[in-house]
Parts: sequence; C-alpha cells; structure tokens
Amino acid sequence: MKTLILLFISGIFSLFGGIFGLKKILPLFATIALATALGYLCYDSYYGPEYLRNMLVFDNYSTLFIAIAIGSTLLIALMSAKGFSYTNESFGDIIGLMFFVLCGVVCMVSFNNMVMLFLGIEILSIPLYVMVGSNRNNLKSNEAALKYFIMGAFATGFLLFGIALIYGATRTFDLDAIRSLSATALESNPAMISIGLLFITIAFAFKIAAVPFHYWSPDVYQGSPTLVTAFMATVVKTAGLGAFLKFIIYLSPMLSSDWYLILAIMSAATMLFANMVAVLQDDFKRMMAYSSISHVGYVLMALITVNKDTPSIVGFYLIVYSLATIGIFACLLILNPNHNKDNSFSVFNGLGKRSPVLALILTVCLLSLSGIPPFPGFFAKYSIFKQAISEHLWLVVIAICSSAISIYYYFRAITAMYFNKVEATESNELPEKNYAGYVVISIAFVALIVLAIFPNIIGL
Amino acid sequence: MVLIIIPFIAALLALVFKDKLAKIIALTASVAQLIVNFVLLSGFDVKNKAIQYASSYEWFSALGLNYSTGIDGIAMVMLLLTNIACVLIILSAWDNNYSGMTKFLSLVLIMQGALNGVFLSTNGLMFYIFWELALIPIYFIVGIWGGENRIKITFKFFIYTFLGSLLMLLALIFVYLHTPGNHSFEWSEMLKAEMNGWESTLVLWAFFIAFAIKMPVFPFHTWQADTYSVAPAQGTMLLSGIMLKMGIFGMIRWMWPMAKNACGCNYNIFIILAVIGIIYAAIIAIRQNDIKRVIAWSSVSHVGLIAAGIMTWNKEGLQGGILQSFNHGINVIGLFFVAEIIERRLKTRDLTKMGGLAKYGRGFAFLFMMIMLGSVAVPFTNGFTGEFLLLNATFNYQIILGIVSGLTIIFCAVYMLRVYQLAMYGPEKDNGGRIGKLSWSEYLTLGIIVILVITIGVFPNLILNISDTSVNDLISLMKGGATL
Repeated sequence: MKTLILLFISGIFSLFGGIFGLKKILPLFATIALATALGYLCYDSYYGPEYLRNMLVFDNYSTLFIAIAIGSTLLIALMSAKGFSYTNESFGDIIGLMFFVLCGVVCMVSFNNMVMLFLGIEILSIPLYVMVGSNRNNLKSNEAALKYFIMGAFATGFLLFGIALIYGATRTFDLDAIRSLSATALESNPAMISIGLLFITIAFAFKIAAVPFHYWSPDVYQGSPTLVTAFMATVVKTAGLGAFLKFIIYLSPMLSSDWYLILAIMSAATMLFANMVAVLQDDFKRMMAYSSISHVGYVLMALITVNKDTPSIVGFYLIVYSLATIGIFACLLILNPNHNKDNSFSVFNGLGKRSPVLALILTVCLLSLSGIPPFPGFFAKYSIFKQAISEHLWLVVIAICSSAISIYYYFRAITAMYFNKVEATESNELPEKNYAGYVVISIAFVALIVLAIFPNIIGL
Repeated sequence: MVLIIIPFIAALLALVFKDKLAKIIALTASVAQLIVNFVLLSGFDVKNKAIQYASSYEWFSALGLNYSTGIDGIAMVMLLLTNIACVLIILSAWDNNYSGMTKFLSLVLIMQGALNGVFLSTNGLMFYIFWELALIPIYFIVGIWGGENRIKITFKFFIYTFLGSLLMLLALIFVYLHTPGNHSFEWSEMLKAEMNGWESTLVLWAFFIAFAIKMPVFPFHTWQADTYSVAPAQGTMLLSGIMLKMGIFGMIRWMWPMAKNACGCNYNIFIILAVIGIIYAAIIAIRQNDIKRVIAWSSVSHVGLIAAGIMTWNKEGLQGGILQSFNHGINVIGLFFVAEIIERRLKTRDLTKMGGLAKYGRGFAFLFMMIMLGSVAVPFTNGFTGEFLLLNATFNYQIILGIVSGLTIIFCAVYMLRVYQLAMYGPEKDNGGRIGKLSWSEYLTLGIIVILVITIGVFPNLILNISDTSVNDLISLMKGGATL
C-alpha cells in the first residue's frame, strides 16, 4: 500500500516537475523513486491487514509481480532521458504517466475484489494509450494509439460485462466470497458463470495479446516509441499475466475442464501462430511483438496447469523474459535513437564488427529468449514444460515445435549482426553514445549470466 | 570439473589479448587441459566399474538440475579424444590468420569446455545443457569464418540439430517423469525408470533421431556434407572429429540404457539404416571432386559402420565402436588438415586441378599416406583393429549385413586412393602452387597424428583397456545382472 502511495506521489511530482522546468532531473528522480519503491517493497515484508475493505491484499504473490514490474520500469526509466527525448516539453507527462501505469499494476496484481481488478486495468490502460501516442509528429504512433484505444475499450467492455455476470450469479465482487459461493452459484446459474468467465478471459486475452485477440499488438508495438514498446512488452504483460494467474488460482473451483481446454487451445494457437508469423516479419519491432505474443503462449501453458509452484515459475519466466526484452529494446534504442530509420533487421548489419560488446549482449538476450541452454530462458521455459508435461503432453510437443520455429527469427538478428556485411551506404559509425543505454544493457547482461549460473539466487 | 573450467577461463583470457598472444594462451590452455586429462587417466582405475571422480553440486534444485560429473571408461576415451584433438586443432590454426583470430580461438575453447561437459555429465539435464552449449560456438565458427553460401547452410545445420536436441530433451523429461520416488535427472536414478515397452520405444526413437542427426546416420545426414565443406578447416575438424562423437557417446551412455525395455526389433531398423548409409555415402564419396566433400562423405560412411557396430550391442561392437570413435576422430582431423594444407598452397580444393603434388612435398606425401592408410584400415594402423571389431560384430549379428558393410573397406580404399592419386601423382597441373616445405606447426600436427595412428594401430589395447570394464558392466547391466 505504501508502495502504491509512493508511486502515486512520484507520478504527481513528475507531472508538476515537467511544468516547472525540472525536466533535467526527472530521469534521475524517477530512477531514485523507483529504486526506493522497489527497495521498500522488498524490505517491507509486512503484509498488513487488507486495505480498502478487503479490496487489495498484499502478500508474497503480489510482491513478486509488483517487484518485477517496478524493476522493469526502473531499467526503462534509466534510459528515459534519451528514449523520450522526442517529447520535448511534455517529458514530465510521460514520466508521470509511467508512474500511474505502475499504480495500475499494483492494483491489478493485488486485487481481491473484481472492482479493484477493473479499476487496476483501467488505471493501467488509460495512461498507456497516451504514452503510445506520445510521439505526436509520427503518424504511426498516432495510429497505434487510436488502435490500442479502440481495442482496449472493447476489452474493457468485455471485462465489465463478465464481472457483472459473475456478480449476478454470486451477488458479490469479493474474490473470497465468490470462491466460497462458487459451488452453489454453479448449480443455480451455470450459464451466467460460464459466460461471465469467458468474457473475463477474453478481456485478459486482449490485454496480454493472446491469439486470437492479438491483432492490435503488432501495429501498436511497431508504431509506439521504442521505449514505450519495451514498457508494454514487459510491465503490461507482467501485470496482465499476474492478474490472470491470480484470477485462476482464486476461482479454480469455478473453472470447468472445458474452460481449461479453451485456454489450452488458446495457448497452443498463440504459440504456433505467433511463432510462424514472426518468421515472416521484416520489421524488427513487429517481430518482437510476435515474439512477445508467443511468450504469452508459453506462460498460458503454466496457467492451465496451476499448482503451488506456478507463481514462482511464472515469476521466474517473467523476470528472464523482461530482462532479455528490455536488453533487446535498449540495444535497438542505442542503434536507432531518433526513430527515424525503419527498424528492419538491417539495423543490425555488421554489428559484430561495429560494436562487439553490443552484439554480444544482444546475442545473449536473443539466445535467452529463444530458450537455448544454458541461458536462463531455457530454465524458465523448461520449468513450464515440466509442469505441463504430465497433464498436456500434446501442448508441450506443440510448444517445443514452436520453440524450434522461433530459433529462425531470433537467429535472423544474430545472423545479421555477425554474418551480414555492412552496406556501403550505411554509416559505420554508431549514433552518439547513450551511456544510460549501455548501463541498462550491462545490467540486463550481467543479470542474465548470473541467472544462468546461479538460477537459485532469487529463491523462487 | 577442472576440465570444464579451464577452457572457459582461457576463452575469456584469449579474448582480451591480441592475435599472437591469444594463440599462445589457447595452445597453453589446451595442453594444460590435456595434462589434466592425463593426470586423471593415471589416477583412473580401469578395473573399477563405478563412475570415478564423481562430484555433485546443486545448480537449479527446483528443476532437478544438479551439476554432477563423473568419468567411466567410455567417457575417459572420449575425453582423451576431445583434449588431444583440441590441441591438434589449435595447433593447426597456427598458420591461419583469420580476421578476429582471438574470437575464433575463444570460440574453439568454449567448444572444448562444452564438449568436456557433455562427456563428463552424469545428470541428464546437464548433459542436455552442455550438448546445446556445444552447438552455439560451432554455429558462429561456421557462420563467421565459413566459405560461400555459409548463412543458409549454417541455418540449416542449426535448425536441424536443434530440432534433434529438442527431441532428446523430450525423451529425457519423459524418462525423468518415470523415475521412481522423487524424480531425478541423475544417470543412476534414470536407469531405474519404469516404462513399458511402448513408452520405451518412443524414448528410443526420440533419442535415436537426436543422436542420428548429430552423427549423422542416413537419412539424417543431409546437413552434413554442405556444412563440412563450407566450414573453416578447424570448424570441420571440431564437427567431424569430436562433435559427432557426442552422438555415439549419447547412444552408448543414454539411449541404450534408458530405453532398455524397447523391442530389440527397432535396432534392426537402425542397423539397416546405418548399413545403407555406409554404402550410399561411400559411393557418393567416389564421385566427389572436392577433397573436403570426399572426406565428409567418407566420414558418413565410417560413422555408419560405427553406428551399425554399436547397435549390435555386443562386446566387440561396443569396444570397436569406442576405439573407432577415437581413431576416426584422429584420422579425420588429419585428413581435413591435409585438405587445408593443400588449400593454403593451391587456393583450391578441386581434385581435377591438382596433380603431382608429391614431387615437391615428399614429407607431406609421406604423412598424408600414413593418415590415409589409417583411414583405409590397413593392418598396423589404428583403423584396422576398430573396423575389424565392428565388422566382426555386424557379421555375428547378421551375415548379409556384415558382408554388405564389409564392402566399406573396398570402397574406402577406392575413394581414398583416388584422392591420393589425383592430388599427389600424375603430371603437374599449372595452377601456380606447390606444396613446398611445411611449417613447424604443420609438421607437428601431422606428426602427432601419424604417431597416434601407428601407436594405436600396434597397441590398440591402450584404448581398449580403458573402456573394457565399463563396457562389460554396461552389457551385464542391460542383461539385468549387476548394478552400478
């Protein structure tokens, strides 16, 4: 709760800081504020009484996901000075919005009441629409914002409808109460419950961009400023999956085997479709969009075979995924800081010669995402496979096949870096030094290597 | 333990320094590695059937992943091969001046570490991790320093082998889930997995495809000739000399014991595939004009024989397979180095453009001849004992298959002598290059190989003794007798 308050106040401060010309110190401020929030969150293992009439519950579970989200934001905030430089005078707004999104994240993953879930998703989404469209001079950014807004509004409608139906069947918004009433409600109102659950599932699928509700995602990822894309691909996914997992854990007595089957099919479709389509992409950011969709597919696999270890498995997966994704987007930002070139794979041509360090780090991040041992992405994927294999062997086989497909597109970037010659027209010079970017990728790199050698270290 | 760490540290060190110094560091590291290996060998009790030097640390406990290492006789032979071969490979790169030599050497060293890891692992998951880790450096070695058309070919190679590895992972997890009690990936625990015949057959096929792609056994060999011919010489040596032994080792160590309940009839199919590969590859080898492609196809043929011999699962077959893995590793490195020496001087690998090379390179001609004889399996060279044991095993298994695979000796003589004749004898072609004098590193590399060829040819027991007890124990274990 105190973390939430701290985040909110920091957001307000950033907004005013933008107005009163404190632009220069804002990235530093944001970094410190986030670090404080993160430190406080980890230090303060006091899971006090439920807040706001039992609407929010802070426990180990929510702490894990909030920590992942804040950690990712911290890395992104480090780069904000360069990454958001296109915004000029509205720089403070962006930082402020980032904090507000985090407030939404906190609400989402610690919700204990359907209303709070809805509020959390809205608090998360509305600032995000603005962030996506923040590059006002870029047509694509505007298009992305509008698309995201319309799709998001639809999803919200579904969510609200679903919550209303559940409420209709159980006469309560409280998760614990719904859970205890589920048996009787299922008997008296089976249709309402199942349709309600389905609608909520659809809303979640929209948010985390699972097939077939993913159509907005590639356009939005491609159009958004790189840093916002990184933010969406990590923080928003973390929040969505965290909330979804909590929803499933709490309402498991209500969920029928049919519902799990739907989710399993969704997971299979997500993995297969996203990986296949990613192969065809020429734009790196679009490719990353499909790649992040496919990772949602893997996590969904964990969600349908929930047991007591699932939160830590999903948490580990998200940590590794976020680190690698932020590392990749940071590299992209270093290479193409002004969003003036198209982000095709040729951005990476000859990077192995131009900047061996950057190329090495990018390679480790990509290898980690593709799940090649001994990089931590392998451990993450593997723990999910291991959890799912006894119940859904077919799903694991599909997941393994799609992993093999994913090698193709991740290695396209690696191929471009090391094997492709730089074309004569391209300048061999790197853009001006982005020290913050280098700090971020170094952190991501070190963290990934440490996780590879000592995966026990985070004690999940 | 030390065997894995030395190369990785050396790889980092080599990366820091400039070309010349990096070469010295890499060579020192690989020699140090070899010395450690010999120290281990001297303390190794060949009469003891247990896994020796066993150690185990926790790596990722939630996944059942432990850092468990240990050496038995079979692994010891493979380790020896790896560490001898890496010295030779680094030595053979002495005269090469690739751009980015430091990176190249550090990749070779990482590869060596990973390969040692594969042979040392006694934990299934760790085995898989090192297996994959070995793939990454070779991908870059072929992709960065390879010849024409390398991007497409490395891609094919990578996806092919990666798919195989994933199948292996599935099989390992499957066995893991059938281990008794609290599941474990430890080799000794995985042996106790209870599976019925049908499940065992699934596991067997998954393992077989994974290892067959690596070796490669017909019909999974299509990546091989292209990759071998496009890779830089040292890359080809790594691939053919050591990396394909991972497949052979995997079959002996993991596939056979894990899938012990599978119907023996599957092995008939495997042996027939292997024998088809022997003949098919040999015939193709005769028609090739690129030296490297001849050697590549001959490698498919030889490995086919090893696979056929091993899969009879009797003592001659296994011992022959292990011995021949060692020999083939040494010989094929020698042959590829010969091809590399010719290419350095003549700038071509096309046999039709060569001739009369023996005239101005007598020392070279002699060394080439010795290595070639080893490959053709002439008595008193190393190939002879190995192939004899393998053919004997195949023959005892099924007479017709034995006779068919026996043809390999004739075919091998045909294509090898053809290469020798076209390149070394006949009129000199005007191609602007002669062999001339060899440099000291070239002499040293070929010299060591020739000494090994003859020593092991005369005293094959040097190798056979090391693996003898372990093979006996494995066989009795599979018959349901003694336990480890």
